[in-house]
Amino acid sequence: MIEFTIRAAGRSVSITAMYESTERFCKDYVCDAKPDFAVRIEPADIEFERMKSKREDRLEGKRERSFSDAYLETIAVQRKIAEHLFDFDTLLFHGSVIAVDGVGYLFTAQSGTGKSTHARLWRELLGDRAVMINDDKPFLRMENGQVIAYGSPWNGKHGLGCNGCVPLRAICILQRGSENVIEEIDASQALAMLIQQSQRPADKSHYPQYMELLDRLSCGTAFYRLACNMDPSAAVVSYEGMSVR
Amino acid sequence: MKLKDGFILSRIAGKVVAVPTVGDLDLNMMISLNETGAFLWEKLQNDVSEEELVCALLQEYDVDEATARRSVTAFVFKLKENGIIG
Repeated sequence: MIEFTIRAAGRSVSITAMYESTERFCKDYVCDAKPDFAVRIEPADIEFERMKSKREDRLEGKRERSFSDAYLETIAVQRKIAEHLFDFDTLLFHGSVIAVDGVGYLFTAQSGTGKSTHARLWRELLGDRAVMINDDKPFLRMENGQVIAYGSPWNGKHGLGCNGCVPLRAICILQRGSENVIEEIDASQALAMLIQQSQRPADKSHYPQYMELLDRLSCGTAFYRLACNMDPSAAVVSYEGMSVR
Repeated sequence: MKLKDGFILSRIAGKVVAVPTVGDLDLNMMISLNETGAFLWEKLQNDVSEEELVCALLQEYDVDEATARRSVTAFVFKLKENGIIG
């Protein structure tokens, strides 16, 4: 077994893992602070991830994919850390977070809709002003009525992101469209998406905390719905729609 | 009749919602409830009959019996349809 400590959403986590590749995977987040909590991966955790992935593929009518144990271990670590972070006002969320002039925007959508593509259009539009915080699984920490988005090692297939954080101004739900249209929506209209895109507790007893965090998330940021194509002008529409309030 | 185990009721973004806490088949399911729905949901945590639900509604709200009965029947039908009450 290998042991190391990482920083996740402002907390230190001691990780005991089976594969060295997991430490390499987390390298940008390794720290030597005293851990706030510890997670330990057992073969059963890897098996759990394998079964879960197969079950989800079947449910979605896809061909069952197979993954290496080393890869599945990184997912198991993610799940265990997220489970502890409920205690620290933090949710793991599926989406791309981009910071512009120190203000964060999160794009979320079903996989394959084009979150990452849209985030890339923003980088092309805004150049150095735009910094990728995370392209897949950022942490969102509720703090004094604000939402702070943190980078994490789980930063998508292109590995875009950094070990940084930014206050979140808006969550934007992305849909494909022929035209580019953005509208501000009420948090209650985003609710189903918030539940779908956040990591839910494995331990039933964490549900009250989880639901409370969703409520704080719904109060702590603005919500938009964007219909967009892949044209560079899509970024102009969404950036102008969200940055000028 | 009684609600199946494994749902949690909560208020998020001003809405009352019930979310399943077990299994991943219905992982993305969320039941949005209005005020009456939330009231009936609480009652259904215990084993109650439709008749008792109608009585409870009549006691709590200023409605006539026919309206209360219609609400209860419609609500119970929806819950049964979705397999939420056994």
